[in-house]
Amino acid sequence: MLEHDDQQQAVDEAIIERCMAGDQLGFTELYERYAASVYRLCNTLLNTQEDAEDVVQESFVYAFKNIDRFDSDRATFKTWLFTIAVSRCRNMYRRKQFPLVALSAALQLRLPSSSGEHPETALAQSNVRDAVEEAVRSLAPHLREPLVLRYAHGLTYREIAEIMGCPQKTAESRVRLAHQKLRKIMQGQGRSLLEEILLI
Amino acid sequence: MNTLRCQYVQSRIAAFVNNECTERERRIVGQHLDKCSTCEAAYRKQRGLQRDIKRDLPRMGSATSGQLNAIWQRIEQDLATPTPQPTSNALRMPSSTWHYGLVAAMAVILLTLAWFTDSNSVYAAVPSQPVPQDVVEPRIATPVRISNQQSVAIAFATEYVTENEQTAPASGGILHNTPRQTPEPVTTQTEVNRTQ
Repeated sequence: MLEHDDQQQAVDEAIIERCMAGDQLGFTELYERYAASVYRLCNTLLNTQEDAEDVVQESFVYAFKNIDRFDSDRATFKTWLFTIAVSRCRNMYRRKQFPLVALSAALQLRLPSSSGEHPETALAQSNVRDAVEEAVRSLAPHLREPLVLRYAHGLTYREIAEIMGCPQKTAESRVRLAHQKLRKIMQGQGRSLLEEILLI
Repeated sequence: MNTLRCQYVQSRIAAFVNNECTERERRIVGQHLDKCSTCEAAYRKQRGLQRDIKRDLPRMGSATSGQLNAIWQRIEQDLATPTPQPTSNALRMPSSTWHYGLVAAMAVILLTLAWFTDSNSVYAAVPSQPVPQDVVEPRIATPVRISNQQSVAIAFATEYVTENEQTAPASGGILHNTPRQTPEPVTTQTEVNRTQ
């Protein structure tokens, strides 16, 4: 895993060098490498696709215009890019004063079901996904951010701490707190759903 | 069962599932889970929830390739647009700043003019230190030494002399009413006889 990360970082640094030398294709490559994950991060943290698209655009434009400020000794390119994106998501929370649960938006974001599932199983899975998704969206931003970074993007606590601008222990405790909150929320959904989760 | 130990264990279940407990915590929680069915059920729920999160969150909010292409086109447009020069922005001040500056400058000019043209200068009003005057001391009455025979007869006709008449006037002292600190040397009768 670590070797894979190191390889990724080495590739990123080579592309960034090309970008700084004026190679426009370098920017396209960086976008192709990270656009999906940055979009997923923003779309999970924000509640509407339009806002997520705006934030992704702003984040990449900022990163590309300030590519000379990136310091590979301090962070990986992915962490740096995520820091920019999370910071812009926070600006968006403040600007729009999001309600914590937007069910209509959650329904827009139905997760793709894997093919080959039995229809009944697929329905049960879909219910669980909706419930998890809704529960995650109902979390306060300071708990949702570390949870998404940890489980949707597989970042380490150190990386989460860098992105969120907090100590590593704080990041760990926030993930734990998010777990506890989620458990309470899911318990509020009723016994049947919990049983469903446990059975699947 | 809902003992203090149960409360402690349930507060540590998320950490236990995430492998974030210390060795001691892990041993306590593990031993308790073997004995307590309520906490064991809570542990199973937490583990199931974590499994769902790990499975579902990575797929949550994924973009289609069409969306990503549209965003890229917008990014290219943004990058192609020339950035305004920061120096020109720095030099350009908002109109409100100019207004405040103008008002402040006028206020300073008006105050300066008023200060120069004012005939009653401020320093003229400052009182000067008063010149010390000679203090007229109260006349302190001192009885005149009289003989025993006359004491009764002149009890109602006593002559008084003032302190100033008995002692020499103070010379050169700043405080005129300060009593003399060193008394005049008294020449006794025996000393007079010796000198004679």
